[in-house]
Amino acid sequence: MDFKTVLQKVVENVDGAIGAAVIGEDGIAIDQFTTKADFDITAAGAEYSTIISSAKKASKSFGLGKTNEVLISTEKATMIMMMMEKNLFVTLALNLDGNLGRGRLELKKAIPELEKLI
Amino acid sequence: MADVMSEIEELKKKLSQNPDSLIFVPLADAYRRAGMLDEAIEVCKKGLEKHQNYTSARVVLGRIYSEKNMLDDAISEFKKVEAVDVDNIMVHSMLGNIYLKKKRYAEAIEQFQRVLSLNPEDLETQEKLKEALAAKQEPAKPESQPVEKPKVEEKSNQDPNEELQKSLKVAEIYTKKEEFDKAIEIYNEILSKDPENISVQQKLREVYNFQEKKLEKIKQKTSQVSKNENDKITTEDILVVMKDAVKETEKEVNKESEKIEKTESGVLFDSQKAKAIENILKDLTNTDGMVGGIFLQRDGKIVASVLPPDIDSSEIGKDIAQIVDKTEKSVLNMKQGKLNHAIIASESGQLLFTEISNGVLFMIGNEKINMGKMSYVLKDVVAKIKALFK
Repeated sequence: MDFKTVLQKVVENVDGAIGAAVIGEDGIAIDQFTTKADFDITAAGAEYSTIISSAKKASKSFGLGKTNEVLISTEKATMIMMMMEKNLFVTLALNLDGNLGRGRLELKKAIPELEKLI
Repeated sequence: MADVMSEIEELKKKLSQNPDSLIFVPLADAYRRAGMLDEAIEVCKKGLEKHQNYTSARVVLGRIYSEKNMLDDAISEFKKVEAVDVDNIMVHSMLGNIYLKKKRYAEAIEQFQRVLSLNPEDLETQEKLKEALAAKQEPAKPESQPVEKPKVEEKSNQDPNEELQKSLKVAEIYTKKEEFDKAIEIYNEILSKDPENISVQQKLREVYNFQEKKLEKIKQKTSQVSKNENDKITTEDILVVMKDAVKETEKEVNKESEKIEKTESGVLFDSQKAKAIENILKDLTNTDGMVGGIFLQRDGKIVASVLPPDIDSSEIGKDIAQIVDKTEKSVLNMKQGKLNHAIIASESGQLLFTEISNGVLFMIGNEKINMGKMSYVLKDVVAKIKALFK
């Protein structure tokens, strides 16, 4: 089992999922799986990591402690980011009509598997 | 190694199919991981010629320079990113490491402190900060470069605030004239001296947006002409298309400028509206699981807030406005359209933020409320606030 296989399983189990990736907080993606050729998460790794660092800062400003998860809703997609061990996070991108609840569940299930591979 | 090589081949193929895409960034990074640093630099530089403002590419290029021990070049790239993205944790970390290597301890300490202000739990950076602090105490002379006087000091006769206002006016003129590169250059220069200046960050972001819109319009119209004329595009066609795009963008620039002026002068958020928003926020806290809310202008000025007693609203306005700016900018860079809203789930509660009527709303929930309910409550609050501006 490798990162890509776990990510592929997540994407295939969620209606409307476009892609998933494991990214370091330094913005460099470790691995990804996408269903759309023009949707490249690795190319935007630094942007995902900026969002995570902004979220951490916001949690700190409001005294809410450690950040566990970030959800971004945009005009074209929804992105879920969940924190993992060792300054890594896993992200799943969905179409606007994607199954968000299922996406979060599958990501939560995948995290222990991904952490075993680190 | 074989994996990286096959990844390189795949990315090269994708890039050749779409040379204007952003795929050059992962390709350069794959070259870096394969140890092919010269190729990595070449790919990155070539890509940056087309996408000058793509900060992710500059981060990767800085990283490659750093691995190649071209430390000054690396600093230069990271500084360019830092000027527009002040909270980029990786850039601060990289800069800290480079300064440490160059024995420029004061600068290293500053960078590591910035990393820790963003992520206090980073043990590795804590260790590095200790190392830099200890090294700074030692009497040994650093091999650092001679200390340069800041440019501002050279112009000591000029009032810095007056100088800033002049620069801002010039940048605005360039924006209106659609000479976006010149405006970006001015804003970047201001931000290199004052990276925390939210208003300038916002203006810079707007110029990037205008520039992007203009390019998209030119692209769209060029492809329309191409279809209509059976792919025969004359110079005249392109000129007509460009003139149209310029006119349309000009209209948008003026419209946006008007909006900003209104917001800055406070017209949109007078005391009556502020009171009404405060009442909406008070109602919000009656919802089970919601503990507070804050509504602020894009420059960080707080319009109304209902917060738990342990949060000092006067301290956080600027910070959270910056957080919103950075998140929006990242979403735009990801080419996923405009940000609708963001939800942050943390240990002791949840945060939701969104833009409404030229302001930003933050809603705070406790650890019991879930994301679904937050989104549901948001709809109600947004509708109420929007109604105030009708």
